[in-house]
Amino acid sequence: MTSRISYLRSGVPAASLCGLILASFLFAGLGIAETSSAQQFEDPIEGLREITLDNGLRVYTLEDHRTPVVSFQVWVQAGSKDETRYTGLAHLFEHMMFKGSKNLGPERHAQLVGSRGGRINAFTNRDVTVYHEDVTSESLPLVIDLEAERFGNLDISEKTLTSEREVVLEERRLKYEDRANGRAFEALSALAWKAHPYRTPVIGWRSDVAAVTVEACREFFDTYYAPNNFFIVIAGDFEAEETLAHIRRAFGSLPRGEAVLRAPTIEPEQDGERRAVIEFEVQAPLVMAAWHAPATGHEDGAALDVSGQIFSGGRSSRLYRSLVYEAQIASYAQAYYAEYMHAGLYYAHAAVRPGESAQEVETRMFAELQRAADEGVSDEEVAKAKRQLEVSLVERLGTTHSLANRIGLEISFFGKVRSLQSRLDQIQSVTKEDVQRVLKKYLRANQRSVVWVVPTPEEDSP
Amino acid sequence: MRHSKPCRTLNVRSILLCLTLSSLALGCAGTKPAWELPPPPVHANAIVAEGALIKRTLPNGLRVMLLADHSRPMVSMGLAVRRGAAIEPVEKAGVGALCAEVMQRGAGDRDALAMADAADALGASVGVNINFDSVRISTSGLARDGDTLLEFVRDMARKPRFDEAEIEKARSEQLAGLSSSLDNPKTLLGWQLERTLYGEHRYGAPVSGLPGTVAAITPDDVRDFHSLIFQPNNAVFYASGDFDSDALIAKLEGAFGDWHPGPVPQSVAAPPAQVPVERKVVVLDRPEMSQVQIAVAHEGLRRIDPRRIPASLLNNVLGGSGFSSRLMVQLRSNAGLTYSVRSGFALRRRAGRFGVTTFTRAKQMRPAIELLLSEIEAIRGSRPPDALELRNAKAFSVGHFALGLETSQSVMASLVNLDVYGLPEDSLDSYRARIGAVTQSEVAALAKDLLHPDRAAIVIVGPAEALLPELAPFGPVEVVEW
Repeated sequence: MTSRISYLRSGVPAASLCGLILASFLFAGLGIAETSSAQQFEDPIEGLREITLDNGLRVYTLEDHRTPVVSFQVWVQAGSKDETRYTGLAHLFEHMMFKGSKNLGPERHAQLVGSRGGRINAFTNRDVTVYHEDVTSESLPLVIDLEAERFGNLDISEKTLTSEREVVLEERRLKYEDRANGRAFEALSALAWKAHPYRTPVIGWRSDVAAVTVEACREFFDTYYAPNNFFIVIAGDFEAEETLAHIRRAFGSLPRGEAVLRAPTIEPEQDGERRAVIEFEVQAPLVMAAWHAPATGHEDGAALDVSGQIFSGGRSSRLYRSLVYEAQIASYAQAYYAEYMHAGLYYAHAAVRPGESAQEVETRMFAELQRAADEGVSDEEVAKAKRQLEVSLVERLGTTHSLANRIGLEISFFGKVRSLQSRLDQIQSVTKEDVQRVLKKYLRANQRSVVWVVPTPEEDSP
Repeated sequence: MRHSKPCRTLNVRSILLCLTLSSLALGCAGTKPAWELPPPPVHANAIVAEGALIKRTLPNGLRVMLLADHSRPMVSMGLAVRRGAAIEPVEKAGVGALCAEVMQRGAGDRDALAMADAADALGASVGVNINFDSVRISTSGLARDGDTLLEFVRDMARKPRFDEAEIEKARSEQLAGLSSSLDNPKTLLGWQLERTLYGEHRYGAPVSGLPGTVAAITPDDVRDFHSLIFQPNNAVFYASGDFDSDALIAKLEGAFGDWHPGPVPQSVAAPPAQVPVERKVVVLDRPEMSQVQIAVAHEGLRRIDPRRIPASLLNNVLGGSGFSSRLMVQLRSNAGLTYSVRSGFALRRRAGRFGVTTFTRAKQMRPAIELLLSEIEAIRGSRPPDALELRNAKAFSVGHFALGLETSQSVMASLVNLDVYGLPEDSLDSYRARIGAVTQSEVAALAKDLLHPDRAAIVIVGPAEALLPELAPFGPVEVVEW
């Protein structure tokens, strides 16, 4: 089990605690926010165990008996970046996984989990597809058998594909086609990435979803849903030995698949600013921009995260204060680093207040970013950003679902789970010079892609 | 005091019992898949371990609820009052939402900028939320910053500054937000639905108000709203997380002891008992949309209605339990008409609505509505919930209940929610038993009493011109614009 590392407060009597807190606040008030490099947190991840079955299936278990719930997650190493012929296939396939198997009818899996009060869902992104179930402890055996059933015996037929295709097209209308920000993000990815498969929307282009075949689904399943290409994470109130024995019985007979080949494409260097304008019926126009940034795990990642907090972390952040609070030309404005497995983007976007000018919002937003790159940021801002990042890391220790999610993400990206302390140390090591350096390095105008969503102009009278 | 080992106060259940249950289930799983076995018994752990919840009432009437939990070095605290947007004058709808926003823009010694700097420097979150029945100040952050969080709570509850410049800025943001909401078809559907059902009652406009009403609010309206509802005898202070309860109570006496009680405002007037009185169709015209948003709704239940537990089970069977519900099976799984469909009761101090919402492509709107109505008709007549459906509906509620109470913060949120409606906190512990006691005939009778597809409002957001011929069979049609 986990070893206990004391937290700063441990053993400090309440009376002197007041002094500590007061000191902390006074420092903040003077603009010299206290840093917390001395602080150490208990990291439940230290109890993580890993086993690998003969067929290549990896299983990660983390026991936590504080409340009688378990999170069970299957992380398939297939996302939209892995689609070769039909875009949207990884996501469509996620839907197909609920449509029945040899021994269970359509939706029975979700119904059975639902009828125990479990939370069941799945998501697909550019890199992975994840199936997750949160249940009370006594339902874990059910979940294991259900997952083994669909990973082993999925029914991929014309009938199920036909109805689920329509469901996905409704989802596409809802989230992308009838929504200004859906359209904007779709356009921005296609603009920023010319070559890399990250350019396609995860939900796929409409015509591909409409045309995808059963054969393509079967091939996708055989390639990516083999036990050597997914892993299982279980966190919460269960007993690892018995559960692992159950998983061996349930998943052990799945045949190992061929080694998966991935697309070799690397995004070529961008050679100038790119722009697109989308005409759409909106009250609040949108201005969105993206710059190329490094893939996850890069040494500049922590400094980029700190910069994101300085621009958009809370009401004292630069973009909120400048565009929303002072100039009152935007409803919101934010900038942040988004990291993916093979590349990243640094986003900046804002919603223009009705009646205000998109151009003015863009000019002011870019000027704020440029000012930080040219003049640097303050020690106080860096300290504040670090604290916000630390608190959000600690907050995520709260539920078994978030623990399992952290394990799955880190294993997918790095093959191991970075300790909380190493994450905190990375954040703490960032200096204001680092922040300025990464802003200068990545936020260059010729590396920028910009999308506006604005109302269709009134036609000129003849 | 810190505990020597991780210990969430929300009852650490017996490991032994856990092992026994797991062993039983796993032992059987070797021969048959688990879905063919009867569900194992659910462990009915106490939600709040005996003695863990500390309740006090200060002499001025301020109720206090504390739930210490030393598993993480975090603390959440706040203060909730038992009145919300429902008491606003209809012509000033949104004054509470504006008040909630401006409370965060300066209180006590700190103006808006100082408050933002202080909260962000701690990585703390500070917010004020309002719904029809309550206003809640909430803060969270590292445990060691607890004293500052308490200052925020105290100052926002007792000494908001309400600077006029901040009120104007916040009003202008609220108006911009309302305009932006017109870009979201789901939001529009919700607004039109409430307007159709409740008209000039306060429930007829969203909590945030509408552009015309927000424009009419004066700074004094904002100040008056705050002083009307923020009375210690109308409030509960709550905290969960890593703190020493005795020390915190002593600090609360310092922060709130000299806060004088006052008269608590009357609750909101009851909305019409039956809305609408006959089936009608309202179309909010959005010519550019390829997808149609659909709602079928009528009056529902009060939050404190004794029928709310069996009603929630009825709703689970119909459309409240995701993939297990009849509507999801029919509309999504079998017909591929939609990505999502759900039903629910909006439980408020006065009866809120019962409604079903979904969306589909324009040419499939009519079959989708027909299917919705026929399923509602069936559950109240030809196909009442059967024994298996009711068992599943109960298991769904009990399981969701446990998952929703995984952290001390979520347990406290539930306790505060009960407090707002004057419901006893032990109703959390009795919840599972009350679910278990509901009978099939009770739910069947309730379906007849509570569901009225024959006189529901059908509200549509979509391209009216294309839709009108399809809508005529459902009742008189009215087209509206925003």
